[in-house]
Amino acid sequence: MSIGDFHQPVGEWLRGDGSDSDLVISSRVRLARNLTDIPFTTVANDQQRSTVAERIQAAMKDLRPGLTLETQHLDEMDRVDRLVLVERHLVSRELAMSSGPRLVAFDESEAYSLMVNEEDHLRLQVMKSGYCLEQAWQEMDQLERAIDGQLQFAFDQQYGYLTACPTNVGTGLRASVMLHLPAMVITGQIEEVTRAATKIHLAVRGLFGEGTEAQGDFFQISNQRTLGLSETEILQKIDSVLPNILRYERKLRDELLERRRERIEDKVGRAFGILSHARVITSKEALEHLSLVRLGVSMGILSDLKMEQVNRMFLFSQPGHLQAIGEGELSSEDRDLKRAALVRQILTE
Amino acid sequence: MLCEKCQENEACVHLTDIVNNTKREYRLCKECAEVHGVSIQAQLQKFKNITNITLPEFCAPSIDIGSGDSEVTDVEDCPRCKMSYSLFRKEGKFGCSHDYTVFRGSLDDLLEKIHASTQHRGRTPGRFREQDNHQTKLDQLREELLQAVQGEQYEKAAAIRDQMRLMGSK
Repeated sequence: MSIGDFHQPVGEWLRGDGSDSDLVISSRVRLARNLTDIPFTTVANDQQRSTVAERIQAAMKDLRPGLTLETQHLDEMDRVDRLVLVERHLVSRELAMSSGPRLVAFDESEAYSLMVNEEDHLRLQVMKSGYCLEQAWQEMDQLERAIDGQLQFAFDQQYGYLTACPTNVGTGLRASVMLHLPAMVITGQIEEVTRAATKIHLAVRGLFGEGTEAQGDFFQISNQRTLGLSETEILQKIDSVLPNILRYERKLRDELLERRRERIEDKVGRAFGILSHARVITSKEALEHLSLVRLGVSMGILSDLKMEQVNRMFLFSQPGHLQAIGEGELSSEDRDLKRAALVRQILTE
Repeated sequence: MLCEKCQENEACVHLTDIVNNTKREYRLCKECAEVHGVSIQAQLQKFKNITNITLPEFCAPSIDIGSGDSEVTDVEDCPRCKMSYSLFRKEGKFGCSHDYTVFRGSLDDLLEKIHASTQHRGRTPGRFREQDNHQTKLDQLREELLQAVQGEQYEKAAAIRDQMRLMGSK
């Protein structure tokens, strides 16, 4: 795939704008759908999976005027390119690493994407920069209605949309927001978020969703329940807790500036210094420093740097992107060298 | 159905065996099952250990006992994808959308536990929305027909009846 130029802004959700984008990296809605007459992907043979892919590809052609989706066959892509798609949040790690006929399709802005033959036959995704779940849902609503007219989705009057895993049945909707909450981590308050979220049955996870740990102070909050609530009610659940989380993070940031200004400026400055001068840096270390630099940008400590640059460093310093820029697969040691060079280059723009 | 081993007694044990991803199924009588080392209680315990969930918390274990035994609920396999309820519980994934129909009687506890609900309240596919609209219109006409008959407006009633017939009402 074309991964874009690391000198240029990439991907709609990494623009670094939109509502509350200092704290909310992105808002995402995902719908799971299956065709009525073909077994779910886990059971389907290659021929059945190919039929699913063909039907969905045919249905994709006229979704919306002006919306063109580029299709990629994952079974024909090399490992590095598949990793790039995972890091762009266009496919799940599971789809990238599985086998057999499977597709990903996305538009130029990477705001719209769909996965074919993941756990479910079809996973539709709309991802936007900043906090805008409602708008993402409205766009998803139109997209799904367009595709629903062309495909017969498995549905039951009692259970709703039928999915391979019972945790997705009903609406098949997973709504999530990716948050950056460094002040809560620094002050040891992150447990509060987990408590508030789980109390209303929201899940708190790491950067890549299910099964991933929080890294670099980034957290993903999503609905756990998909059955018994309407799509709007699911979004409202996240809306009911998110403003409080954002307010709390901002309050802690203000307190940090007020009471521990030198300390926090020192932390941010050191992180910036390491990223600016390091010659070898691991993915984990880069992420930790980028988190502090991001905090510094949004608190006005690092006024010359743009949020979009930080997001770009964050994206391109991941293993898949680093290798895709270079000449194919790199050893871990070589990636650490290349990562440091790339970060330095973006910082001097 | 007769036991596959002795061909004499009625089979009441449905054993699903998976070796190297190959699923084999046996239908045995209680005696043959025990002779071949399949103790029903041991299997129940084994299943409980695998899932770490107590038996009353859900329905069918890896051995289903026929209707002659009231201890365990028998759940049919899906005729389309051949998924058994026990395999579904072990893997956590359905084989096809028809499983929801086949396992319906056993799913409510599980869904209640995951979602605190067993009833969908979200959107419906277009084809169902059309059906819903069609049914609503028919119900409305039926009501109007009743009122027309009660009001002795027979010409109006006949017109409504014809309209209903055109819409496929019997």
